[in-house]
Amino acid sequence: MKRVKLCSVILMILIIITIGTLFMIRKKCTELKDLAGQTLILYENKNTEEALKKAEELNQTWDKHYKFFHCSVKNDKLYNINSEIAKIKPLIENNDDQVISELNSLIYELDFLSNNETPHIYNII
Amino acid sequence: MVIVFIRAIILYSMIIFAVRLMGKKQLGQLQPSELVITILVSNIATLPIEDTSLPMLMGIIPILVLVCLDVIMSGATLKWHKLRRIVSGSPKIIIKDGKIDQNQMRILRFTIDDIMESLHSYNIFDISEVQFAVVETTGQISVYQKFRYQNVTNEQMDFNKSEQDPPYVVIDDGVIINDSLDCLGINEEWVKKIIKEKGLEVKEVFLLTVSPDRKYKIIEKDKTLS
Repeated sequence: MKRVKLCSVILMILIIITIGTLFMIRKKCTELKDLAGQTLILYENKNTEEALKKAEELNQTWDKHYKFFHCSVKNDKLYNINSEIAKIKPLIENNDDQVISELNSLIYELDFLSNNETPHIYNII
Repeated sequence: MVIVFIRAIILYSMIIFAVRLMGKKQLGQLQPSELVITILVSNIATLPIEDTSLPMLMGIIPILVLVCLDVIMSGATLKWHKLRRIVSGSPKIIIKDGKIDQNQMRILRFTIDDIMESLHSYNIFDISEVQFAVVETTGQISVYQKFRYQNVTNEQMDFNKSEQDPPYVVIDDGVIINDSLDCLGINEEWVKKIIKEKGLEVKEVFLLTVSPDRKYKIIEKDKTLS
C-alpha cells in the first residue's frame, strides 16, 4: 500500500505540473500575442519609434520564455515563431510593410501553439 | 550526440525507477495490464532518445503516469474483486477429469499444442493423467494430476525426519557472508577453523556451504584461473 500511496502522490504532482504548464503556456502566449498586437497597431499608426520599442520588448520577452517553451513544447513548433520574431525588428527599421504579415503570422502561430496544447476533443482523438 | 547520450542515461534511470516502483511481480509473470505497461513504457522511452526535438518531459511524464496508474490500479484491484476480474480476467478450467473443454479452448484461443507443451513441462504426456488443468490469468497452465499418477510423498510413505533448512552459502569467492553466519548461529572463528583444517585460507575458498547440522562442503579456488 506504500507504493500505491507513493504513486497517488506522484500522479497528483504530475497532474499539477501538466495543468500548471498548460496555464503557463497559455499565459506566456497571451503575453507575446499582446505585444505582437500592440507592435502591429503602433506600426499601422506609423508610430515606428514606439513600434520598435515594442518589438524589442517582444524580443526580450520571447528570449525570457524560450527556455520554458523549449522544455515543455515540441521544439519544431518553436522554429517558426523564433524566425518570425527575429525578422520583426529589422523590418520595422526598414519600414518594410512585410512586417504586418509577419506580425499577423506570429499572432496566428502563438494562437496555434496555445490552442494545440489545450486539450480539446479534436487534438486528444 | 551528447544530448542523446545524456537523455539515454536519464531515461534508463527513469525506467529502472519505474520498474522498481511496480515491484517484483513485474519482473516475473506479467498480468495483462502489466504487459501493456511494459510494451508502452519501452516504446515511449525510446522516443525522446531518438528525437531530440522532443522535450525529455514528453518521455518522463507518460512513463510516470502509466506506471502510477498501473500501481494504483493494482491497489484498487486488491480491494475490489469485480475490478480485478475486469482488469486481470479470471482463471479458466481447461481440462477436467482428463477431458479437454474444447469450448473453453476456443474462447481462450488455445491450441492443442499450447496445452501439450504445458503438460510436458509437468512431465505429463497423456491428457488422461490430468485431473484438473487451469489457465491462470497470466496465461500459464497449472496442472493437478490424478491421484494414481502423483508421486509418492514422504508423508504418504510415513518417513519421519525433522524439517531442516537447506545448506547456506557461507563463503562466496573468498568472502564470508555474515548473513549466513547469523542464520546458522556460527561465527567467523568456526569457519576459519574448518578451513584451516583443510590447509586453506578464506581467500582461497571458492565456495563453502554449511547446513544447519554443521555439515559442510568446501570448493577450493582454481589457482590456474587467477
